[in-house]
Amino acid sequence: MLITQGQLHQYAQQQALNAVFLKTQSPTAAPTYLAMSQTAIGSLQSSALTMADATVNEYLTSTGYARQNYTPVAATPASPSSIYNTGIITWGPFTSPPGTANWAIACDVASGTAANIIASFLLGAPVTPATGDSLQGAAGTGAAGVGFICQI
Amino acid sequence: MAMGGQPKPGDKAIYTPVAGHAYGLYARGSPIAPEMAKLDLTAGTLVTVDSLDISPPNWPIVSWTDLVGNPRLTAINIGLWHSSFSPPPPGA
Repeated sequence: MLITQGQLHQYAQQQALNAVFLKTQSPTAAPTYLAMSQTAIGSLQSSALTMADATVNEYLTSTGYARQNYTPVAATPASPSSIYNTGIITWGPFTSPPGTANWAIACDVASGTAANIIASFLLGAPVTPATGDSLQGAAGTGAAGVGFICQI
Repeated sequence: MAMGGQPKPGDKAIYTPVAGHAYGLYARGSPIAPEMAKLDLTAGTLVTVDSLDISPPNWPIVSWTDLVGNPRLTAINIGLWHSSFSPPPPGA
């Protein structure tokens, strides 16, 4: 699927600026996760801080869904610099229809609404998995539209 | 022998469905596309409890590797955890 470049959300914008201007250092290295969101195009706000935000509308785990490890590369030594997944990311198998997803959302906890939102990625086309299906996102290459790439 | 007690992170189990059906196939109840079948959680797969979902229904989230080598995380119905997963053999 074609995916638009990730948009950093407010939490990540603050983390990045505070780190590079040496105000505070970012949290220690830890896994990050990719969630699937049913939010309509145009309705997901970059000011959404956590997965508890009313606009997030994540798939439910009662469908077999779980957030997947993002495992991105280290930020590339280039300007603009980017970060992206190098492995295929697969959700499911779903045990009931989870709904139509328009977004993938990167966050910092494997489950629950307390997770901080880092970035959101608009899918090139909505996806509606059926029961028994799995849903795959391509491995990134650093090229725009391939995998889940975020660039500054 | 089924899994007893409440799952906790680090627990290992083997998917051992009674009828031998893969996880998604069992839920669907009818054949699924071949490209989906190879991504399904199949009988005999070793899983490890990664975490417990913080939100209801608080199901275990297990990590496993599919038939094509992709690392996966899947939420498991707690009833199926007790009925369709078994302790792994020693050393697994």
